[in-house]
Amino acid sequence: MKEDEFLALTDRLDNGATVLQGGGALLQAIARRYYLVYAYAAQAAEKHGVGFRRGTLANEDRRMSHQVLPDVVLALYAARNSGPVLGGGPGIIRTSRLDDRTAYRYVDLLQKDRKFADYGGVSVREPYDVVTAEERLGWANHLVEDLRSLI
Amino acid sequence: MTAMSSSPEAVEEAAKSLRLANAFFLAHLTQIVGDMSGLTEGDQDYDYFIPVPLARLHILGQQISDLQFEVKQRFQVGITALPVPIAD
Repeated sequence: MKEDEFLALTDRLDNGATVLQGGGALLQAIARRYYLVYAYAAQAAEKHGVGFRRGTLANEDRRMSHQVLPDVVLALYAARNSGPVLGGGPGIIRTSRLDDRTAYRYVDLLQKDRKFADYGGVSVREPYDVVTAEERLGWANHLVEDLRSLI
Repeated sequence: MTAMSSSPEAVEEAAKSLRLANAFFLAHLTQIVGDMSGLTEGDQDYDYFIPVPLARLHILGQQISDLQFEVKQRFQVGITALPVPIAD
């Protein structure tokens, strides 16, 4: 993605998350923060030539997907292959806030929250109290901070 | 579940790894959630759905993600479960 488009996208997502959080829509705010993580990871993966094993995803348009994001993040953090993802870039474990295990956990959970927010699956509007939601929003911020260093 | 392989020997080895990884995953998932009676087959995104009490979603979700990571590291196989919150 071109830099100006990327900056516009991340600004929009960041602002959207802040507005939603301020209005008490915590799950939706977490989902917007997840999308911010996705944007940074996709941009970093593109910059550092993260690839995919031949044959694992035949459709070119589906190579970078939400479902494969935890593997992409692992590959970026550790600079090694993960699942269908071929690692690229310098890796960021030594300088990052998060280790690769924690980064995987945060991405996996934020993605599950995003699916609850977008597709339902929870019986209440807000599955987390304010403190817990803020903790999860913080996870996204830590991921963005780390991934930004690769861009 | 995902396992990377191509030759017949590699396919057989991957099948063995999948069996072992799945057994490991389910055994440890039982330790995490306790009640496995609600476990169901997942969809195109997750291998399993497992109901969890809403109040424990935050904690159990982290433990399940750590288990996924452990299986990925130990067996080179991706197995995933979506904790589905149910009202307490």
